[in-house]
Amino acid sequence: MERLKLKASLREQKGKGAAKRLRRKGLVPGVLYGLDREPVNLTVNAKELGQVVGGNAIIDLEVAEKENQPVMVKELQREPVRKDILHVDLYRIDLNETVVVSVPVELVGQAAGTREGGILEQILREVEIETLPTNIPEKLEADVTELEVGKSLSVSEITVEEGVTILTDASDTIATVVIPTELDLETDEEEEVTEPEVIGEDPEEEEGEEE
Amino acid sequence: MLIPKRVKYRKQHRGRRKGKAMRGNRVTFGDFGLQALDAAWINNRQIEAARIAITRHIKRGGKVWINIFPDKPVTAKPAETRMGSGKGAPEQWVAVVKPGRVMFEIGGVDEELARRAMTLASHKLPIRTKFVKREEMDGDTDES
Repeated sequence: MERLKLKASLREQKGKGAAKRLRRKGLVPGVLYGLDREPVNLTVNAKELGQVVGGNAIIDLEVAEKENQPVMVKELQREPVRKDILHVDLYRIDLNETVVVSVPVELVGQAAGTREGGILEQILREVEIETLPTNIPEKLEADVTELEVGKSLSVSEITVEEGVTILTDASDTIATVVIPTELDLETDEEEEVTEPEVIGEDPEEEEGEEE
Repeated sequence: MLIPKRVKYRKQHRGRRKGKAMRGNRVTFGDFGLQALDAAWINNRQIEAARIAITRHIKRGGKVWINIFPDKPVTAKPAETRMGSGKGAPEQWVAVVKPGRVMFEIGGVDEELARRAMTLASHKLPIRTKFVKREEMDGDTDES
């Protein structure tokens, strides 16, 4: 796994007013915690942060031009429409201790069922794994070539490297091949309900009330 | 047409539509989505029209998800009625949509087809929209 670098400075001010002022200057408020040490409030440059987030990259964090410590992005808050980063949680990691992370699952091959007209539907996009930070795979591959219509692929069928443990329930479905629903443009409207039933009200009583 | 099966009360206050969609603002089921850029009440006819536009365009294949449900009754008084005499009768059902809300999702089709289907659907809606793709692991989103 790649090692990236990020510079951060200590942050004194707290609260939404201060956070908004920082964001206007192109900075992102954040917090650093983990390894049973005291949490520290930080600010990082939004552009620099944008380049290092994504995936489970190990970041060498330089706080106030002192010591490089390995961290990972634990949580990221984004603005709902513009998707700007609003806040970042950085988590201190020990390179010799295992961490629990989510890794994307990629479906490989063309499912047998799709040749018969089925649609391959991916239900689980990420699985949780436990491994050493230096051993985190970029993605896990799930072979779907033998998946027929109506059949599904479960987490237990993914093969992982040595030292990686999958924590997601082994019986969870990753992908399935479903039969496409026919165009149900008009058929859907078979029972046209005009008014829903009101809980705790007698239908006849209701009529009288309406006057 | 989408409508609740049972409700506790027949009429509701109008409420306010402040802020942005803090939930339901990501593509979660399919690969592509149609995101609202304005706040609005989307009624069940509009949702149905958009759904039909999408399903007709993608024909067979692909799967469509509707992430909004019209669970809010909107009342209206009959035309040429004097004011007063209580609240009007329930007229339609709407979904409250705020900016950022991913209203429709498509999976199992290629991007070009999904984009065209979503464009057709957006013409059935009373708000500005944006075509969005699934975000990968908190990384940058690729949108247009």
